[in-house]
Amino acid sequence: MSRNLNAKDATRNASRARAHRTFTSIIVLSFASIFLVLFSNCGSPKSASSSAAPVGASAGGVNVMPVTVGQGCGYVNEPCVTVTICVPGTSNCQTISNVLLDTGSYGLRLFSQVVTIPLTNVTDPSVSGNTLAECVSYADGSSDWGPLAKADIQLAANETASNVSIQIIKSTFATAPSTCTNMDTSPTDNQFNGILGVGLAIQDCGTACEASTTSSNANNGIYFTCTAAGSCKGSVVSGALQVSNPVASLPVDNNGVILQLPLLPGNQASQALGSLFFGIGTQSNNNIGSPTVFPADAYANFTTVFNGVTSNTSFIDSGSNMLFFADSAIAKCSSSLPDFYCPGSELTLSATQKGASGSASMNVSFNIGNANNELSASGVMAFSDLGMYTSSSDFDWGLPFFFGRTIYVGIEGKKSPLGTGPYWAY
Amino acid sequence: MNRESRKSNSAQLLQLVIAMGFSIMFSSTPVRAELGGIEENIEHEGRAMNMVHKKSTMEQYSVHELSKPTGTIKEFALPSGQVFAVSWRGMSRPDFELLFGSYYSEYAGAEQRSKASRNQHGRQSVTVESQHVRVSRGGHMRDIHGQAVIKALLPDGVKAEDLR
Repeated sequence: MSRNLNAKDATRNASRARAHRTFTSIIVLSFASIFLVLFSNCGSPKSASSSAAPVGASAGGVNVMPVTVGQGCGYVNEPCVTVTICVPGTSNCQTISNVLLDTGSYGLRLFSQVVTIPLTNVTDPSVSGNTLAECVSYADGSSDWGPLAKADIQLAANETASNVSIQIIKSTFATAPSTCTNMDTSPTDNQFNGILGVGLAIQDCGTACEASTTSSNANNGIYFTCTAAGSCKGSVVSGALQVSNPVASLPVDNNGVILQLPLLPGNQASQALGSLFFGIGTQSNNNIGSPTVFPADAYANFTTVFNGVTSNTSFIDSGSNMLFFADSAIAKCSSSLPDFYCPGSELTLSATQKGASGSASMNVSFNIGNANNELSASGVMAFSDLGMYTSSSDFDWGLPFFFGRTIYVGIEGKKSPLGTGPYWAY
Repeated sequence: MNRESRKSNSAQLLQLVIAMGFSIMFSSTPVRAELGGIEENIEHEGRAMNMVHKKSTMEQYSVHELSKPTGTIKEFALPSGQVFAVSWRGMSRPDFELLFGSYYSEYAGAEQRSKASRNQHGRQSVTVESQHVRVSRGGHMRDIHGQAVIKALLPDGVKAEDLR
């Protein structure tokens, strides 16, 4: 099994060299081809490193949440964590594994199918008997619908956020609004039990969904008030009741998180293990070092310049399992993998990241491999070179960007030695 | 309930007009300022929704911008008045069924087909291409954006990425 991985690595390295168009690369490629042919003839050309050891390890600690990619998770590049929720103020708790760790969203969402403790729904303070619900949408057109509930959320041994609003994902709750299409329906379909949003913002909507004297915000498209009979209409919801990033509610380590994932040799691994540290510069194990700090704008975006094109809607998102960007020169895969990149050889590309304000600027080198080859390899679940074409204006630095880096996620309005959020730093 | 019966009942429709508040609203007249519709109704509909309306004219098309604190929608119209593209940006996505008008069903069908890939490999493509329309979506929570373009009506020399 590992021989195939070696052959694959040889091919990969050769391919990378070929991208540089050196004479040496031709020789290396020839050897690589010979290895590939030899091992292909041994029987299982597609099986790879399913028995290979995981790359990396969790740091451990009372403010640390272990993160796994490819172990007990559903799809490739899915960073998974385990959370414990409790009925607020009680020891009636439940531990839920296989929760997607997402720096591109805010708040905890759990499928109703996996929640067994009796959490109380959040009632509408302005309409007696009504329950608050919401529909949040994602870039790929999917959405989560369901009621709000209050829970204590234990993220690590020493890290509990008390009485925080979460969303129970339940497509059958009441009558979903017609705009809430393409709803997530089950852990089986989505291949996770929920989403833990630990990004730059505190609430999943914020002031745009709160009552205002200058505008009518009830039709915000996100929050709804539902009667017991199941009829729902748009509603304002106070910030305190909105679904919120639980990190912001931690007693001490509440100014952000640090996500650390290992470098993947040859851009891939069967599994990768890492750590999510709570707090930035608040404990002995979350020291800041000297990263470059990229302030984000009010939308939680910064700037990426790639191929001479500037994207002001760029972001760093562990919940995106690939790099999403536009390069029409890169070959795409066949129609069975729509918009995935499938270059003939491993590509080395570069882009420049810039803060939304200030002068921070950093050149980033990244790889794009052949998604068809990679996704057909069994047992390989972590890739740092998986990419997809996007027709939007975004440059979405998904999970591949996290491998081999320590990435600081500074929450809006919270002070840290790296400055006041929202920012990313690495 | 199908789309036609919704159209016939303005009371039901008012309840449906939600996402970002920029969904196209009307009383008894049918939706017109949608993808493929005509531009002259946009200002009226914007007023009805308490949205600020701005019009700017480019060489080959005009841009109608409707905005609220929760988001902005732009409609791009040809000199003939036909809306050939729409774009959106805001806290949540717009009501695609109302915004895409008669093109909604082909979009919904194509989206359903592309979902298979997501279930297998994580996220699906953000582009949904159907017979007449290319829909591009993007962003993340609190910043959802995208555009829909009627491919055959895109004026010569205009790129889809200009229509944002």
